[in-house]
Amino acid sequence: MKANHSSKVIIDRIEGDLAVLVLYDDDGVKFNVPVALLPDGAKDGDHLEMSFVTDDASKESEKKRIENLLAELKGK
Amino acid sequence: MNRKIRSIAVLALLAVAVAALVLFLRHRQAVPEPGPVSGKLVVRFLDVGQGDSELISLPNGETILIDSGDRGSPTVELLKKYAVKEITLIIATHPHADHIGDMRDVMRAFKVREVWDSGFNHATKTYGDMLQEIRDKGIKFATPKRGDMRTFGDVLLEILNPADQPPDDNPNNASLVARLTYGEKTFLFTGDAEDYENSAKPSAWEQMLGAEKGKLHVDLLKAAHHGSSNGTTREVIDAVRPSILTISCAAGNDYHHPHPKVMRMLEQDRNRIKVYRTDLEGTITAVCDGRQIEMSTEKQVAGDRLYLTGDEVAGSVASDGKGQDSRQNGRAAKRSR
Repeated sequence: MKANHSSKVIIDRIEGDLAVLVLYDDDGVKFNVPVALLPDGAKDGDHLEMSFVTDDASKESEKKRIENLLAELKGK
Repeated sequence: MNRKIRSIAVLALLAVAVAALVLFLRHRQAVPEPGPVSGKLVVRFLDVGQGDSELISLPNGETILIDSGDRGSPTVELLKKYAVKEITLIIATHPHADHIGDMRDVMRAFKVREVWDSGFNHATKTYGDMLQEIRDKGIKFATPKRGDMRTFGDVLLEILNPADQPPDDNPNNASLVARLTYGEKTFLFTGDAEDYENSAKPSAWEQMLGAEKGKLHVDLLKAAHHGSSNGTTREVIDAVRPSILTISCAAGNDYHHPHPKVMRMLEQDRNRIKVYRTDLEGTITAVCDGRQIEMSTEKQVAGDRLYLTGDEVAGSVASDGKGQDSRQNGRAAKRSR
């Protein structure tokens, strides 16, 4: 299990509020991302490093919160 | 013994089933529809999903392909269906993937004599790979500018955009825009050329409107940029005054194509302009004998539906479940490549 995964993507174009990103290693893979989520000034033809990092601490704290809520609600 | 006979019978049945399947699939393969028709100019706005691809069969038998659609679109299959053997000229309007994504596959499937390209340095792998393929195959390559032209028998092809200096660093504005003239009839292929409405900012359309003055009228206009609001403005429509307008986009696309502003404008002009769109009607065919243009479409659509916006089509596609179907088809098509 990888805790994080990073890939290179290219901004093929920007259509309104959406950037069309293409995976560098396989241009058959493309997806839209709101321009607002990209670095300032990102534009057509820019290459970006895209990373996904698993945040277990965040997940655990959410789990804990739900656990408490469920316990409270069921206890009523 | 019994078991042996049974297994032979099973094998025989399997063989028959496989043979039947092969025959069935071969039979189902579309019979090529006539490509070039002697004396006629046939222009097909191919249904390649979200993207552009126009196949032009010239009266003298030569073939021009403008754009290829995106990677994974059925362009090669469609070219085979329409009996393409060899492509005289490919025009890559500009280097966005929805216009050139499938170029490499097209160049691998067909002999291509020459490529005209915008020459706009868009730093994507898709564009780099296309150029690499052109180089590896030794295909003739040119980056024409406004004023360049070529004749193919009786058909004249003129480049209207880009000018020597593109207006800005927007790849859409570097789009090769081509006008085709056959006899009395004219066609305008616009790529994704933009017009910054109510702005003095120079754009592809503004440069063309300025350079062509009152001479931009054509009979058939391919709406620039999939019917987006920056591709077809009131100023453009009033200068071009087409009687036929085509829009190439996919049903349920994420980019709001075609734009409500454009569809409202076209609805106002419905008595003057006949609208055709690939998202609703599939591949659109225009056959021209030099005096008239006859239009036909793969699918029939009630007149009022032709003025639905991209988002309205997306809504109706989602609610009748077709959206999912077409996505699945898209995946299947890609897998089989």
